[in-house]
Amino acid sequence: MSRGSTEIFDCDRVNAYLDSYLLGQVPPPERRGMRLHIHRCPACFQKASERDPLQLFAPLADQERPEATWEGFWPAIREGIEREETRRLARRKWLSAAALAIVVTSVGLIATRYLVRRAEPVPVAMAGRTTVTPPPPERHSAAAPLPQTVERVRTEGSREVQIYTMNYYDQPAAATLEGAAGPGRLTELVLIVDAGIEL
Amino acid sequence: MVDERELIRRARRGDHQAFELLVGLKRERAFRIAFNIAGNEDDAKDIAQTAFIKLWSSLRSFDENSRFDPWFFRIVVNLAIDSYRKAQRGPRLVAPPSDDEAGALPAAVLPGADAGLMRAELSRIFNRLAAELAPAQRAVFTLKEIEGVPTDEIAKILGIRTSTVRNHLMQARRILQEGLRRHYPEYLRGPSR
Repeated sequence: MSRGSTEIFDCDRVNAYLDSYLLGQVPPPERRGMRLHIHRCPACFQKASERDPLQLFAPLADQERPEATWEGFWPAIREGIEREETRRLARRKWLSAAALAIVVTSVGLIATRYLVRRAEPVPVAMAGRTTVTPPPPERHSAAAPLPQTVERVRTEGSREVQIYTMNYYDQPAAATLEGAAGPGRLTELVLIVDAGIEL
Repeated sequence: MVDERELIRRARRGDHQAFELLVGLKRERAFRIAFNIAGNEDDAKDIAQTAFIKLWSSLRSFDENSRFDPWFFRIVVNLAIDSYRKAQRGPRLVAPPSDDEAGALPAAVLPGADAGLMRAELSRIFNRLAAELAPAQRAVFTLKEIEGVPTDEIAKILGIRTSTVRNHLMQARRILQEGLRRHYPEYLRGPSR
């Protein structure tokens, strides 16, 4: 809106639209024109302020700062924007690192759980009070290992070796409801040694 | 003539130069609103600058089909209200006039005075009387009576109902008129002007 708009508002026009003006119904460009006239014309100012004393403060809408006010205004904003962007980038990097750490930890946990589950012995006792134990063909314990075998073999290079084969239950099984201990996991140990070495 | 829509579009794409031009277009009003609510020039400058920094960060979320001014001035007004609230909790920088200060308005604010002087003096009087207002009342008065923002738009800017806006405006007007009556009775009597 140009300042020239005040020129089209004389006292008659201001008086004609004063009610609408005071009710805030005059659109912004005309409103400014009327305001500038009212605050220059003692007669119109008196009429307006009698109806609404707070019209006194209406010219605050036309406040304009001297150019010196804006010195350094934009550079400070630009600096603030750069600072904000650096902070946002750092936050994004941190969030990415945190997300990666969470993914790696989760995968690790899942893998560990899977491996541990695989390494667990076959459960002897099931949930509840029923016990399902495959009856062992014979009862053995770690203290009483299975019979071992020794075999003498000649290799292709005419070298003689002895093959020791031992079988044993490496873990005692959980007690069954009947009170008898089941066999542990059967492990076969094979040792191949030079025939000259006696074990 | 710079096309505001085009500047906003370019600034949204990260164009600093377009954003600088947009700042140039909006800084005067942003400063004025901040000043009339916060009541302090230094605070008003900080508020306006912070508002523009926030604007840059959030410009991508602006819907180009909606009006820019209410969206942006919401940032300014909220920052200004926060600043005024903090200032109210601390020691008062602008004291309301004491009762024995009653008298006529300075000639500088009356018609015929130099426009620049008139606004500076009016601003001083407004700041002193408005120190009695609650933050929301002051924001509503500034937006409605000084900036000429429609009531429904003020409600959107402040995130309150239009009935609440009217209520705040009524209270603010009552307090300011009471202040004028108490401290500048000559002005309200009229004929002596």
